[in-house]
Amino acid sequence: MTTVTCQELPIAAYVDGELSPAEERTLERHMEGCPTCRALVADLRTVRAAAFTLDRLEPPADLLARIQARVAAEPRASARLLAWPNTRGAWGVWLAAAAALLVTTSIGLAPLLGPAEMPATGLAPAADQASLVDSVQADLQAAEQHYDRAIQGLERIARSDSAELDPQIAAVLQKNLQVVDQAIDESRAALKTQPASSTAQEGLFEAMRTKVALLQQTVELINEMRKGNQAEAGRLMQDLSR
Amino acid sequence: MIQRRFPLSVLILVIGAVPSQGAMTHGLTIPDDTPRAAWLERYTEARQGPEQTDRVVQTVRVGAGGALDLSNISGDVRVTGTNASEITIEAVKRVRHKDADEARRLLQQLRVDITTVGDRVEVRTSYPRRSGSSGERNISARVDYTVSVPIRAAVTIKTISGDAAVTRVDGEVRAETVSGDVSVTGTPNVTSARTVSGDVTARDVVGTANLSLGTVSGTVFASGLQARSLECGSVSGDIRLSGIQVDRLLAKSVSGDIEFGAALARGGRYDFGSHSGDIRIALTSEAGFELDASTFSGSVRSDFPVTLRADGGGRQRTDTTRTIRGSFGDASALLSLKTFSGTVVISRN
Repeated sequence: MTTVTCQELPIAAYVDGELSPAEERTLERHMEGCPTCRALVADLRTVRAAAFTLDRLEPPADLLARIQARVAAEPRASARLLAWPNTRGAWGVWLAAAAALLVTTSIGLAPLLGPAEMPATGLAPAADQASLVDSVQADLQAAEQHYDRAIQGLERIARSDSAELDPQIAAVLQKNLQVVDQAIDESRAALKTQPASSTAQEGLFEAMRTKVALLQQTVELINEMRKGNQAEAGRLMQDLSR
Repeated sequence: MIQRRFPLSVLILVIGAVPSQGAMTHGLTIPDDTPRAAWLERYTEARQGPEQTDRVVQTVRVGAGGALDLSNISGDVRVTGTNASEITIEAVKRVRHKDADEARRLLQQLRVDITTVGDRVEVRTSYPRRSGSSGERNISARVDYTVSVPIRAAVTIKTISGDAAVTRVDGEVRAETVSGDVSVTGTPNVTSARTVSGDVTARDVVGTANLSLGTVSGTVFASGLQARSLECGSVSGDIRLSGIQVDRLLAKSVSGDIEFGAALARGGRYDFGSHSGDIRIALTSEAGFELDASTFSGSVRSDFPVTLRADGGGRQRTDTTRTIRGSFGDASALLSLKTFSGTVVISRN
C-alpha cells in the first residue's frame, strides 16, 4: 500500500480552490477515509471565515506598496491559504486577521498538524475508530462555534450600521439572511435526529459559510456607503455569492 | 440636495414586483408601455415633480483597443462593441423636482466627469452632497449611459442602482451592480457579472477562462457559454444553465432550484448544491461520470444505469432513494449533487 504523509497533501491549496479537478479528486478520495484531513479542511475553512469578524485596523500608508514590491520580487508562492484581499477596505480586516490567525491556528490546529502518517486509503485501525469519531465530533462542534462567533460579530456590526444602506438593499439582504437562517435551523434540527448524517453536516456548514460571506459583504458594503464612496461599493460585489 | 436612496426604484419594486407579461424576459428589460407604466409615470410626477433631462455626448479616440472604466450611482449602463476606434459616451441626466428652477440647478450639479489617460477612458457620476434639508427629500436623480466602444476594448462597469449590460465586446469585461440586472452577451473575456438584487444573464460567451456569475436574490441564467471554469451563486434565486461547455462548474443556491442542461466534459468536475431547492441535471451526451448524489429529506433519481459502489454505501434506500454513489461509463467526469430537502434528478435530454 502506498503511504503518504498527510502533511504533504496540498490541503491549503485545496481550501483555496487552486487544485486541478484531478488533484481535487485524489485529495477528496484520501479524505473520505481520513478524518484528520477532513477535520483540517473544515477548520481551515472556519478560520478563514472567522477572520473577517475581527476588528478593523488601518494599515500604514506605505504598507501596501511595500508588500506589493516584495511579492513582485519573489517567485509565486507554493500555496496560498487565504485569498488576497481584493478591496482596499478589506486590508484592515486582513491585517487583524493575520495576527489572530497565528494564535487561532497554533491553538486550534496544532493537534491536526502533528506528524501523523496515514495510509493513502485512509482506513484507520478499528481500535482507533471510536476515538476518531469523538475527535471528529469535537472538531465539528468547534467549527460550529467558530461560525457562531463569526456570525454573531458580523450581525452586531450589520445591525448597528444598517442605516447606512439603501433601504431596498437592506431589505433584500435581511430577507436572504432569513433564508440562510432557515437553512441553518433545518440542518441543526436534522442533526439532532441523525447526528451522523454527512448530508446534514455539510448542509449546516455550507449554510453557515454562506451566512458568514453574506454578512461579511454586508459589512463591507456598509463601510463603503458610510464613507460616501458609493461608486466604490460596486467593487465589493465580486465575492458576494460565493 | 439630491436624495441618494432612489425612491423611484423602491416604488418600481413594490408596484412592479410581478412584471407584466412580456415586460421582462431573462433579465432583458423591454420598454414597458403598458397602462401600468403610464400610471407609474403620472404617480411619480405627482410625487416628485416632472422629469428634467440633460444629454451629454462625448467621443474619445482610443485606437483599436482602449479601456472604459465607468462608475455610476443610479441609472442604467449599456455598452456595445463596434468596429470604430473610439469610445462614444452618451449620458442622459434625469432629475425630478417640483420646483423647475431647482430641478435645473440640480441637473447642473449632477456631473458626468470623463477623464482620458492614454487609451483609457474613465467616466464618473458625481452627485452633489446632500444638505439634509427635510424639504428636499422627494428628489430623484439618475444618469443613464449608452456607450459604444471598440470591440477589443476592456470594459469595467460598476453601478449601485440600475441595470448593466455589455454586448459584443472582446476585451476583458467586468459588470457589477448592487440593485439591478446584469447581462453580458457575446463577451468572450467576461470575468465577472454580479449583482445583489437582480438577475444575472450570460449569453453566447465563448472562450473565457474563468467566469463568475453571482446574485443574492435574483436568478442566474447562462446559455451558449464556453469556459474553462464557471462559478454561479445565488442565495434565494435559481440557477439555470443550458447549452454550456465548461470543464469545471460550481453552482450553489440556498433556497433556489438548479437546472443544468448540457454535456459533461471528459475529466470535468461539476458541483451542484442547494439547501431547499431541487437539482435537475439533463445530460445531452453519454459521457461517463462518477456520481455522488445525496439529499437528507428529498429523493434522488437517475435515468442513467449507475454502477453502485461495492462498499455498500452506493445507495441508501428507505421509502425513497436518498443517496446514489457510483459510476456510469468510464467515470471520467465527477458529478456531485447535494441538496438538503430538495429533489435530485439526473436525466437524459
